[in-house]
Formats: sequence, structure tokens, C-alpha cells
Amino acid sequence: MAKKQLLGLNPKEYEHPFDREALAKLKKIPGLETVTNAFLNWTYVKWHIIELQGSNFKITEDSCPELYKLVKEVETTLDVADSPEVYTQWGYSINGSTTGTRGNTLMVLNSGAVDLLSDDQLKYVIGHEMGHIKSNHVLYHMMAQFFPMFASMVPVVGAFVGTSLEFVLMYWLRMSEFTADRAGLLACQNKDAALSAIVKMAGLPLKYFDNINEQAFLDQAETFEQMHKDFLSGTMQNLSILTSTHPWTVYRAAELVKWIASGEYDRILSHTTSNTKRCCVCGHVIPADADVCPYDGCDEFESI
Amino acid sequence: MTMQEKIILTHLDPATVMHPQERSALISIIQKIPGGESALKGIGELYGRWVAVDYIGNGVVVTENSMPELYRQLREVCRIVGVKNIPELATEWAYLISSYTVGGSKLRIVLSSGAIDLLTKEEQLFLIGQEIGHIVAGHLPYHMLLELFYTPALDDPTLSTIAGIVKMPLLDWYRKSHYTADRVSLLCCQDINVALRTMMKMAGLPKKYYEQTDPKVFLLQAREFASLSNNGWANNMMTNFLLRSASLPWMVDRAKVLMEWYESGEYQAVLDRG
Repeated sequence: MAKKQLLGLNPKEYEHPFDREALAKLKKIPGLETVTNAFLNWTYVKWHIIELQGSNFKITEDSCPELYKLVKEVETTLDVADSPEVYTQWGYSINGSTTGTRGNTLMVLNSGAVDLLSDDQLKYVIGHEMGHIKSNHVLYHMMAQFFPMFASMVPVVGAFVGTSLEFVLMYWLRMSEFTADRAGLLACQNKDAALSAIVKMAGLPLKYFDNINEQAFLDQAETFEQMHKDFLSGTMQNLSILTSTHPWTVYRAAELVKWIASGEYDRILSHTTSNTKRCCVCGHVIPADADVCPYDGCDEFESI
Repeated sequence: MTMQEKIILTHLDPATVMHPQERSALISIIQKIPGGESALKGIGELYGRWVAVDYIGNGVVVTENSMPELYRQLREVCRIVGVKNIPELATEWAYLISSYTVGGSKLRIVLSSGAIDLLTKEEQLFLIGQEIGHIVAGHLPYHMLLELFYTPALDDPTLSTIAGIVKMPLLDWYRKSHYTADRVSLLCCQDINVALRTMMKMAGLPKKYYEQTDPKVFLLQAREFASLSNNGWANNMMTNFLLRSASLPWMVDRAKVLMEWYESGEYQAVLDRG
């Protein structure tokens, strides 16, 4: 099914509040982005492009037209300006990752993601990655990897600073996944596909792929949340997630459902260029007939 | 589909198909080791026997009765390149395409289950040919020696510093030893497209596109890779550094190198000699 093209989609509209705030703080540090971008461009990006080109399978219009088309469709749906180079690597877990710098983004999909997901589910996973690109997470994800490493090189306080910084960055990183999940949903525009993709990632055996009960998985999320109220289990949960890159899979499903229930998802999908305009300050897309932006009270707008 | 009849290479001398880069890399290692080649081979051989014990306790051995078809493939490969002493073959569970060989005087080839489930019969000949290639080219003692460097026994700082001096050139050679093995593999399956297709699958082509993907696209990528690594000193240095420090050889790079040999006419010449 053709997806509705979300022309002019601004990531600010769907970014998870925590992700947005934390990233805004990081972005205020003068020079951080420019320096990191330049540094990574000369080191990691070069290194990674060479490695991917030399050992993995590159997706182009000629090499794999079907997958290429699917990636391009997601790009169009989400209005992604910075199109990544896409590669596949062999691996049977459902996974994708995006690294690189602005203008040089590199997406790697596991062969398992391509083989085990339906087209809409795959659009969800690719849309998730595109969400990281749109919100400019990629550079900060890379920082989360490299910064603690540099910090721990400083004697005495280094290890302490490095570790605390790591926990802070990892916390933001997990929150950024919620944003990316929302982008994934906006890409596939199919709630069931998004949730069933998460269920498959969580470990559903292939044998039961035809019979996915998403509600049961949401119930599991509920049970998990209840456990958190018990002090010991709650502490365990907090400790065990500290260094993870992604939030608990059940939370991702639950968080996505909450967002849909908030009406935000439908609101974004119902945008058309003729009945909406964008706030110049906060970037929210609002009805064309509104006098002031309901988000920040500003009255400067631009058309989409 | 019946398999195409293969040319039996009764006159095959492994030395003639050895990749020149492998030869020079090998010489540089031997020069670094006191006692030279025989000491090196001795250590490798001993360690090979030792690890074999560990591996033989695992996996499913391929015999005429357990997996007749696969066993026939093994015999076919040995027949083509003239290996009299047929090594043992076993499979182990892993959903990826990979293979390795262990042992000293008695060798065992191990294929991952993914290699059986994801490759066609012809492609399996290529993969088994890979391991037979390492065997006929005499790579095994060196491979075992390399594996020795990864044992916990060498965790001691002094030992590992000494080991590092040998390990780097050994790794460099290890990667190049695949160039030679790839040539033998191609001589086993005798079809360049089968070779490229196997490599493309190993590089990460999703199963969904197995039927519709032409191996030529993989060659295009290999050419792009070659031009990328020749584009300026920074890229060139980085490529060299990365290739040298990679523990596993790169598929696209291997495809490129194999194709060069194929196009040079050397491959056809070996087949014609029979």
C-alpha cells in the first residue's frame, strides 16, 4: 500500500520530550558538533566506508532494486534530506544500525531483518533508522561511543567522569530510540506492522510468525511495569539497563501505543500542505487558521 | 539439475596457483622465526593435534551413511584436485556460511549448518574447495599457529609482546592465504559465477534476493572498492591499515583478487593443463 508522503515533516513534532531536551542541551555546547563532525569525518567515516565497501553487500538500484526502492520510499515518506548509503551484512537477528556524520550517513541492515520481516515491518525498521538521521541523533550516538573512552584516558578523575558521562549519554540514547520508533511508525503507517516487528525482535520463533498476538506482548509490558514497583526488582531493572543502547523491548511497544493513543500520530498523518503551516520557532506543524502557535505562543509561521 | 562434469586436474601443482602476495608474506614470517620453517610447522602441527581433540567432541561427522550427498561432494572436490588422503568432514549448528579446518596430521573440515542450508550444491563445492585449497597449499600448520596466539596461555604481557611481533605478519599472511585458497576453490567448482555468488552470499546478501541478484553487481562493488582505496593517500593508508589488521579477510577484496586471476587467463591455463 502506498504511504502518505509527509512533506516537510519536522522531527520536532514527534520527538520524545526527553530526547529533545537532552539533545538541545548537548547542542548548546559551542563547537562540539562541528569538531566531532570533522573529527569523525576524517577517522571513523573513512574507516567504516572502506570496511563496509570491502566486506559487505552494498544496496544500489542495480545490485538490489527491490530493497533500494523500499529504502527510497521510506526516505520520501519521511522527507529525509540526508540519504544514507545502505549495506546488508549477514546476521539473523532483526537489526539495523546507522552511523556516520551529517552528509555521510551509513546504514547497515542485518540480512535477518530483510528476510524475516514483511515489507511494512521492514519499513518500520528502516524508518526507525531514518528517524535517527532526521533528528540528527547519529552524531551524538557516535559521541556516546567515543566520549567516555576519551574521558577515561584522563588520570584519576577520568574513570569516574567517563563512567558517569557514559550513563548520562546512554540514558539519552535509550530515549532517542523512542523518537526513532515513532519515525518508524510514521514510515510504515501501519500500527500492527510496527508492533509485530517489535515482537519479532523480542524473540518470537519463526514458527509462530503467522500468528502474532500484539496485545499479549503489551500485557507483558504491563506486568513488567508492575514489577518495577517492587523495590528490589525495580533496582535490578535500573541497574541492568544502565549500559544498554536500547530500552526494554516491551517498553518500546508500550511507549509507541501510548503515543498513538495521545492522538499525535493521527494528527501528523492528517497534515496536508494546504491546511497547515509551520511555526518558525518550535517547528510544529499547526492548522493554517491558528493565530498563535499552541506550543509556544509565537506568531511567526512559514508555509510548507 | 545434474552437476556439470568437472575437469580432473591430475597435474595440479599448488605452487603454481599460489598468489604472489601470499608467497612474499610467508617468507617474511619465516625470516622472523628462529629455526625457520621446520620449527614453525612443528609447533603448528602439535597445536593442531591438541585442538583437534576439542573439536572432535563436537559437531556431526559427515559419512556415506549420515549425509551421503555431502560426503559425495567432499570426495568430488578431493578427486578434482587430486587429494588422496580424504580429510574428515563435519557440520555444526550456526546460521551463517562459514567453514574452517583444524588438526595436525589428521585433519577435519567443519562446515556451519548455514553453509548447507543456504548454498546450492555447486556453491558447496566452492566452499569445500576453499578448505581443501588451504590443505593442499600447506596452510594448516600456519593457521594452527595463528590460533595458538589467541589462547589464554599467551595472555602474559611479556609473552604477548613477543607474540605480537610474529602475530602481525602472520595475520597479514593469513588473509593472503585466502587468495590462494580461492583459486583452488574456483578450480573445484569451475564456474566464476558460482564463486562470486558464494562470496556475495557470505558478504551479507539477504536470502530473499538470492534468485534475482546477478553476481556481476558484486564485481561492480569490488571495482568501486578498488577505486575508493586508491583515492588519495588517506584512503589508501586507511585501507592498508584496516586490511592488515583485519582478522578475517574481506569478501569484496577477495572477489576482486580472484577475478583478476580469472581474467589474466591463468585460470584457463591451469584447466587446460588438466
